[in-house]
Amino acid sequence: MEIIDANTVFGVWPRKELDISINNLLKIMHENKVEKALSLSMKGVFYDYEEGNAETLKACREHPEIIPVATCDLRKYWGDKRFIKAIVENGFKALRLFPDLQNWPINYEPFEILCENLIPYRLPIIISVTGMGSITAISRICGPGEIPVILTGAGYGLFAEAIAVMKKYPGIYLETACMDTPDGFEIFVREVGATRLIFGSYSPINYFRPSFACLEKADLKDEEKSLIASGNIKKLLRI
Amino acid sequence: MKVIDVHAHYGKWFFPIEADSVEAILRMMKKNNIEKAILSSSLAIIYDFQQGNKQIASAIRDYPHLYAYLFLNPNYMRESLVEMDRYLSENSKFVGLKLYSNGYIEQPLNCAGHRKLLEVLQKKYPHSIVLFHCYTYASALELLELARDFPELNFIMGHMGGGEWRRAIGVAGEAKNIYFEICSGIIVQGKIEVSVAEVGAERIVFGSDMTLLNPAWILGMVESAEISEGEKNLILYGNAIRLFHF
Repeated sequence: MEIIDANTVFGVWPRKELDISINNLLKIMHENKVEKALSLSMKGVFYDYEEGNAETLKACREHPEIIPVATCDLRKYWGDKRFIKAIVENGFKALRLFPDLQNWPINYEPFEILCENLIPYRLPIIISVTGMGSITAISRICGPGEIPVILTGAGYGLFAEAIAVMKKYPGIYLETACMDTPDGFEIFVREVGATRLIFGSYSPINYFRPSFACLEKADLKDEEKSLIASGNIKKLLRI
Repeated sequence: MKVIDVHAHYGKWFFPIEADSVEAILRMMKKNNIEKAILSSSLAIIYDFQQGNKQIASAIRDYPHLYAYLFLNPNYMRESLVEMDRYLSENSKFVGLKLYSNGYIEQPLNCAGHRKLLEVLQKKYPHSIVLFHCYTYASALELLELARDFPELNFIMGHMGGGEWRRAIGVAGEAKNIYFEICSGIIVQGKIEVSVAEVGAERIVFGSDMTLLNPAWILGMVESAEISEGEKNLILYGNAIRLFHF
């Protein structure tokens, strides 16, 4: 089964001692037979998003198995359309946002402006959820504009909200790094379909095997597992 | 590699989880090579401990590979003491106590009620095993206090301190009657390796938290860990065999 990991990062993790270097990411990918990974430098999350995005592009040029994902720090963004145009022209395949690490709320004008600016480009957003109600709030901002949205970080406490929102908005997807319940995959596939789940591990911050083992052992058809492991993200990002 | 799951549950949760029957548990055990599992009742933890204990006793009775923890609620001391004698003296399927803190019972781990229960337990059932829900550093400190005060009991630190696992094992490691159980949503890289280096593989035990969590999730962490096969075997199986005399 081809595996594309839609949730990886690299760089430095300042909050505890962790090896999230690009070399460790590549090692984990190799050990677990991951063919490609969407990734970005954490420099863009913690320090400066322009510098981080440049670092991401450089890493992707050196390692073609890494697919570039841009980021933007909404504490420092108020609507520059040239930024969006530039990341698309530079070949970034998605824009990842970290309200969880940067502490900005979903109901936040810079986020709404960013989403409006993204509509002409249809560039998918990957966004961390931040607790109950955040998925609903994201869907109300992004759903009507039909920007593809991949939710990350939703554990079992947010599954009901995710299912409800995904049933309403067809452009909302769920990344599975937190799919940790006994039958989470089965319930989501039954309720919203296998085409709406996208595999990710949050490596190398997290161990790779837990999230993949849950997919591997799920009571799903092989073709459903294959869509989740790589098919859906390939189609969404046209890669 | 064979597995014993020392931290599992039976019953429903208030989340979208449907795999909550004994049959579902047995399927999960088979899929993940789990030979034996020790369950506590979610009904007992969340709502009615007497009804929950009764329900789990009946549910596992005919399944030789399923065992239970008795859940006691320190807010109901008289009833808890009756439950202790009812299940621990007569029913060999109950292999220890499960005690909670904060959340569902609104009591700290080292509350007077738990102390009283442990006092009776140590006197009547020495060398018993007590699995405590321990999701913070503060609760690890409370557990350390109890472990020192009740040296004839063995304690399992359920969830190993949650997101504060590094500090939790750092401080609680000194009490030799504390074992560390690894299940939680926190699967950060290095967790198993650091824990083994800190307290030794012989004091770490595997728990899955099923039916809340998927056993594959926690097993995956041990599989990924860069420790020896012997250490993995201790964590997944050997330590539980020794601790529970299986």
